[in-house]
Amino acid sequence: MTSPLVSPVKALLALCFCGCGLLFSWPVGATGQTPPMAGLDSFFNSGEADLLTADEAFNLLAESSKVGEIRLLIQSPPGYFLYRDRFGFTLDSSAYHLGKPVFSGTETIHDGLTGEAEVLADGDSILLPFQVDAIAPSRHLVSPTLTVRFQGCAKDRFCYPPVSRQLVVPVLPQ
Amino acid sequence: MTSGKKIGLFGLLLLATTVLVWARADNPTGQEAAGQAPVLRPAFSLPDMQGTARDISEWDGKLIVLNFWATWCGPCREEIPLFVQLQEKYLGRNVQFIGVAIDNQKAVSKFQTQTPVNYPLLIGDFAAIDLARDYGNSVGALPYTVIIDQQQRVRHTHLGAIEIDTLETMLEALL
Repeated sequence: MTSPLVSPVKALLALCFCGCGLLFSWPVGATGQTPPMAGLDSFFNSGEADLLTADEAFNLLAESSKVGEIRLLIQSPPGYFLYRDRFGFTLDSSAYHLGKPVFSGTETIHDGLTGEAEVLADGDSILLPFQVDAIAPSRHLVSPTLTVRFQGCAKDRFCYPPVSRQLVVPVLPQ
Repeated sequence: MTSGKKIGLFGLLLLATTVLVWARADNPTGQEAAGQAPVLRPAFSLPDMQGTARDISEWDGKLIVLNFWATWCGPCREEIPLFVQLQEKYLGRNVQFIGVAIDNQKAVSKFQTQTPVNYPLLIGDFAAIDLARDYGNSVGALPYTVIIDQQQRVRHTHLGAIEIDTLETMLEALL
């Protein structure tokens, strides 16, 4: 007579299969890439499949919607932030002169032993005013490359070293 | 087979699977369990706070806690007092903490005036991020802590601030 239930042998095989699947399907890295020393991948990090590099964590969108202004929009996952006082900006063209940046949407956080710090996160923006050199030849008034230097962290978890990002800015004609 | 025996057998199999998965997730020496042999630690030499070159091989034979950190990293600064406590506690048990600062000597010196550190601090500057990558830090963030056993094998790596209890458990398992 056939048992209505799965036989014990089949049940054992099924459980072994599932167990092996769990063993070998555990996350191996932050982005699915094999780290330099894959054999060292810690089990303490095994649940942190959301680990991102700085390039992956922070995206800056540059636009020039108004004459004499560059607007940078920050895109980042929840819990990631950039320090306001660690931003730096340079333009590669001497035809443009950057003014003082205006940060909007900043938030004050308590940052470990360093005390309070102003930070920017997803959706916040930076307005960079600029002037064009009056005597600059028109051939120099092409879209300049803006280098943005910044440094940020994943709150209460870890921090990234300073990063530089180069953005081609579509500057509107004067 | 009676239904009682079936239930018993099912329970036993469920228990075995639970133990298997739990061991995979929480066993500090799980690398070996998963068939991943520990890797020998990469060699390096960096200057200490006095400018003297220190080679990692100097501490061979000890259980090493190698911590990559920086003064500009809040979570790094917060966990260093805990490392100082543990270094004191494990001083007589062949455990050696070593800090590699992704920073310059001046910044580290200033930090030490506020937070005295009782283990060697090596100055790596930003170039030492590559060294951290050699030790498995694919994300390139800090703090990053590596445990190297008495046979110079890397046994654990951890990105982010580490819980002191977790670290102690790892050390005790390797002593």
